[in-house]
This record gives sequence, structure tokens and C-alpha cells, in this order.
Amino acid sequence: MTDNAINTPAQPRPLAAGLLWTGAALLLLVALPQVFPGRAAVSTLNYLGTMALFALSYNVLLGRTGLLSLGHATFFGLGGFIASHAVLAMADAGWSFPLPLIPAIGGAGAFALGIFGGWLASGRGGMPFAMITLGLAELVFAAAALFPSIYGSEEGIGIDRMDLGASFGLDYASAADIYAIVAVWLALCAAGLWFLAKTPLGLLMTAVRDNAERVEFLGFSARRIRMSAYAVAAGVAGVAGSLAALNFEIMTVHELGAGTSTLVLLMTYIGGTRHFLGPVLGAVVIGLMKLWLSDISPAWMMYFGLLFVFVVMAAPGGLAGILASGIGLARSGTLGAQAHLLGAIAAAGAIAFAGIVVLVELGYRAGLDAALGPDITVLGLGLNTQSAGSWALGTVLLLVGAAALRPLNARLADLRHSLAKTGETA
Amino acid sequence: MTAALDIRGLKKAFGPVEIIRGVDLEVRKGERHALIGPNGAGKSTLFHLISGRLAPTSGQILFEGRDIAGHAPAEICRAGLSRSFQITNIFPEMTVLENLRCAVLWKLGHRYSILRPVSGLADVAEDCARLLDQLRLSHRRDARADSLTYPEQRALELGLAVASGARTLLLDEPMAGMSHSETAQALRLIMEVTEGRTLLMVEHDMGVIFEMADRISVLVYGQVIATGTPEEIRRDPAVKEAYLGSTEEAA
Ligand SMILES: Nc1ncnc2c1ncn2[C@@H]1O[C@H](COP(=O)(O)OP(=O)(O)O)[C@@H](O)[C@H]1O
Ligand SMILES: [Mg+2]
Repeated sequence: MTDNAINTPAQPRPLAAGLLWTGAALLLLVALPQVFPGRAAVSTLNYLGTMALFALSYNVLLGRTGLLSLGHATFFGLGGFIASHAVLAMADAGWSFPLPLIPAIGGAGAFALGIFGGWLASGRGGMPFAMITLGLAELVFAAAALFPSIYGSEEGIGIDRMDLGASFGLDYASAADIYAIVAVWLALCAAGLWFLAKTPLGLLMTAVRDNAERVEFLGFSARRIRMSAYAVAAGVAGVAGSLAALNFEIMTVHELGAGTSTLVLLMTYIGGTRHFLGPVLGAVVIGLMKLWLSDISPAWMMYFGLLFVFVVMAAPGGLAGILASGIGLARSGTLGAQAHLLGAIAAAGAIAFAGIVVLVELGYRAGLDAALGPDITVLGLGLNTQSAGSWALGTVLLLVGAAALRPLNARLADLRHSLAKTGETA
Repeated sequence: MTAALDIRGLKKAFGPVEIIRGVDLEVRKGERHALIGPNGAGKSTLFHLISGRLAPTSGQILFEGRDIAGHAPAEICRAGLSRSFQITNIFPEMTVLENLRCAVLWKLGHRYSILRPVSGLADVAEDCARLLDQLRLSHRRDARADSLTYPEQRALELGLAVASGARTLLLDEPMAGMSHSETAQALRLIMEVTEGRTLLMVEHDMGVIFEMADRISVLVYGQVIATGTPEEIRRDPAVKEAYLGSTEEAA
């Protein structure tokens, strides 16, 4: 939060702004597959849309209600399994059920399970909540091994999404058909969550995040509010899991494991929990990192971790927070005065980052991937893990960049301080 | 006529230490009742017991004839008794308006509704506007609660207690830490917003107490040693001994 946001009264948030956002979002959803055609690209969009919805559901807990769930993948996975079994059973029975409505079944199932889980987990917030959600998730994961007929064994439960036949004029053979399903569910659920945030229950969720005890002294049950948030988050996660099942045509226990729970936590946090679309941003950025970076570097998990550490330490508002302060900066009219320093900071940051990349890649090649030989090209530079010069280059870049950042940041703070002062007197 | 609050033989121990040692206290309907006593006497603890934050070790708390001892805070609030806190206890990251909206939702029957946006609820808007006006916080409507000045935060704290529409209010040192002029203003505010309700208030400022209270109870070391009109309390030898005497010497 910037000081501006605190002190300036009543930023107008009229209907027009809401319509503008909605229009832009819908336009984007329609335009994306046109801009990125091709089966692989659309399949990627499906994955990103699914994860965006998953992260949005998680933020009902983390950002809205201030609850740290360590087991949100449970409902993503269970939703996906419920959807898969629904497809299998109905295909078996020869029913013609429209495929696009399958996520409603997965979502409803996850919602019902979420009510039960929420009832168990919601007595208190904070640490007890986190621990109970972790325990429940581990329980469900362990139970999966006991019921191979439900969860499949190693290879999971496979479906053929075309088994239910065509509906709505689509036969669901192509990724583009699935994109239509993903886009509509994403838009519907996002709109629903947006609306929820505006209702009395949504306001009370924020109140529980802010001061759960006080809510009780106003006549409300904080437990019931947490439980509602939990069930809603579970239901939407179930929809996302169902979409994943339709997209990949396979569900494995991996989808409801700790790795997936961690992934959605990181996506949401890195994207920014205090902006409605922050989780979407996080899901897209992390999702793309996962897909692309894993192709070009064995160390992609490392960069992922570094990004997380950077956000936690330097930008707790997440990527959305950075974006918002950028927009605030552009609107403040002082961007010109700060441009030279911001440019210098960006350059210093890029140099330090280049140093990190060089060192990380050298490290991976020297260690894990030593079998590939000592020669490696990083950022267009021909390096060698056995040459001291290569390591020195990385170290120097990192140190020079980092050393330059500190005084530059201090000067920026000074400049902003004086700009704020002149702004006040003007 | 049943009393608003009738407390009988109330005790509260933290481990081996008994802090409330058999309190008997009656607050009549519609009266402004002050609770005074030295620091650490157990005034806040007594409020916690009445409002459900703490469960008593033994004893009865009859609110309008019904025993509420050990009940949950939410239940007690819904029954018509609400409170403010000595240490400001508001929603810091929400705006003043949002704070008040939370406080009126139950009373107006919206509860956990998901049917309509809060901003579209006419009764909520009307009630909040009236409260903002009463609390002199209209100009701060959209400011985050943690950006308010101290007296403004105390006004909001009071507002949350009042907004719930309770017939009986417990106010724990609503004017603590305020300057002289701020206190006078806060007192006027409290008199105004508690009009027609029952009030039990902890306060240290003797000037304030003798001005506003119909009756006063003196809590010393976990027991009520006297209850009476300001005149009676002023003359009570036990009170003089235990409390007023010592503060007069200190002053
Ligand atoms: N949770 C607790 N555990 C142990 N002792 C407590 C607790 N709460 C209050 N006390 C003690 O009870 C006594 C009365 O506190 P309090 O009710 O806050 O006094 P007052 O409001 O009259 O100044 C103090 O001595 C305090 O240390
Ligand atoms: Mg006290």
C-alpha cells in the first residue's frame, strides 16, 4: 500500500471501470488463441488458464481471508478425480452429458468436501489452520495409495474426453475446443469471486484477515466465515482440477500432492495477494517459467526459488504490487525526474542478475550435469567450468551489480522524499 | 423490573491467582454506570468475563435475566450486549466505512449474505452515514483505519460497539490517553451515542465520572467494595480509604 492510497479519499471506482476491466479481460480471452494459434500454444494457454483459476481460488484463502493453507492441491486433485470418474462412468453408461459441464460436477464435489474440511480446519486461523490443512492434505495423499481404483496407481486415471460425444457444436478433439471450456469457466469463476468479494460475506472475510477476534464481538462466527472461504476456495479449485483433467486427459496423485500445493502458494504469492488479478499474473509468469525455462536451463527451479525470495524480501506486494506502483509512478508525473535513477537501478540489477545466472549455470554444469562436459554457453558467452576466469566473471558481475544497487536505491529514496516535499508545498 | 446486568458471585482465576474474587454488581436498565478502581483491580478482566472473551471460574452473569456466563462473544453480542476495548481493537487495513459496515451487518439482518454487494445495500449505507456523522468521521470515511489519529481511532472503536445496535454497552476506558479537550469532546460523543441505552464504563478521570455517571461501582482487588450515586461514593469511607484517598494524595 502506498501512502497515497491511504490518504486520498474516495478513488472513484464506478461501474465504468468495472465494465472496462470485464471487457478487456473477455477480449483478451477471445484474442489469445488467435494470437497464439497451434495445438501446442493453445494447450499451453489451457494449462495457464487452469492454473490461473487454481491460484484465484487459493487467494480467497490467502489474500482475502488471510489463511495460509498448505494443502490446497487436495481440492484441485479431488475435483480432477471426481470429474474423471464422472466422464468414465457416464461414457460407460452411454449417457450424453455435455463435456463443458463436467467441471460443475468436479467443483460441486470439491465444494462439498471443502465444507467438511473447512469444518475441521477453521476453528482458528494462523498456525493451527496451516497445520490442519497440511495434515488433511497428507491424509488424502496417503489414502490415495489405499484406493488404486479411485486414484489409479502410478499412471493415474486416464480419460478420453471425446467419449461423451459432441455438444455445443464441438467434438473436443482439439485443444481449441478445450480452450473454450477453460476460458468460459475462468471468466465465470473469476466474475463470481469478484462479486463474492463485494458481498457482506466477502467483507467479513477481509475482516477476519484483519482482526478475527473483533469479528466475533460484532456477532459473527469467525469460524463460519473461514469455513465459507475454505469451501468456496475448494469448489473453485475443484473446477480448476476438472479443467486440468479435461485438458491433459489424465489425473495422477501428483496433482493432489504437496508439490502442487506449494506451486499454487508460490504462484499466488509471487503474483500478489492483495490485487484481485495478482494470482492470475503469478500463475501465468510461473507457468511460463515452468514450461519454457525448464527447456532452456536445468536450473529453472533455482530461478523460481530466487524469484520467490526476491518477492518475499523486496516486493511483498508481488508482481501485481510492482505493476501497481509502476502505474502509480507513471501517474504521479515525477517519472521523468526519476527516470535516470530507475534506469541505473535496472542496469545494476540486470548486471547482478547476469552474474547470478552465470554462477548458477556454471554450478549446475560443474555438479549435476558434469557429464555434459565443461564447455557451456551462458547468455551468449562461451564459458568453461574449469576456467577460473568464468567463475570470476560471474562473481564480478554479481558483486558490481549488487554494490551499485545499494547507493542507487538510497539516492532514489532521497529523491522521492524531496519530490514528495515539493509536491506538498506546490 | 429485571436489571440490564446482574452479576453474582463472579470469580476468575488465572492458574492459582484469583483476579476476580467474588464480584456482585447490578447495572439497571437505562442507567450510566461507571466502574472505577485502581490499575490492576480487574476492571478489564471483568469486562472480558461479561463479554465472553474469558470464561469465569464460577458465578453468574445475568443479562436481562438470562445467564450468559461462559457464552461465546458472538452470542452475547447478538443477545444485545456489545463492548469496546481499552486497547484499540479495530480493522486496521480496512477503511472507516468498511469497519462500520461490518458492525451493522448483523443487526440489519444481512449476516453472511452473498446475494448483493454491500455497497448496494441501502439500509447499510444509511446507517453508516448516520454513524459517521455522529462519530464526526465523515471526512475520514475512505481512510484506512490505521491512518487515523488516536482520538479518531478511539471514536471508531466506540463506533464499532455502538453500531451493532446493542441495548447495553460496555466501554473500557474510551478516553484513555486523550488530551483534556479531546476528552471533553469524546465525553459529549459518548453521551450522545449511548442515549437511551444502558452503559457500563470504566474510566479514570474523576471529573468525567462525576459528570456522566448515574451510579458508580468501585472495584478494588477483584471485589466491588461500594456501589452508589456519585455523592454516596464521594462520602463512602471505605472508598476514600481504598481509592479516592490515595489518588488525591498522589494528585
Ligand atoms: N490472562 C491473564 N493471565 C494472568 N493474569 C492476568 C491476565 N489478564 C489479566 N491478568 C492480571 O489481572 C489483573 C487485573 O488486570 P486488569 O483486569 O487488566 O486490570 P484493570 O483493567 O483494572 O487495570 C492484573 O494484575 C493482570 O496482571
Ligand atoms: Mg483495564
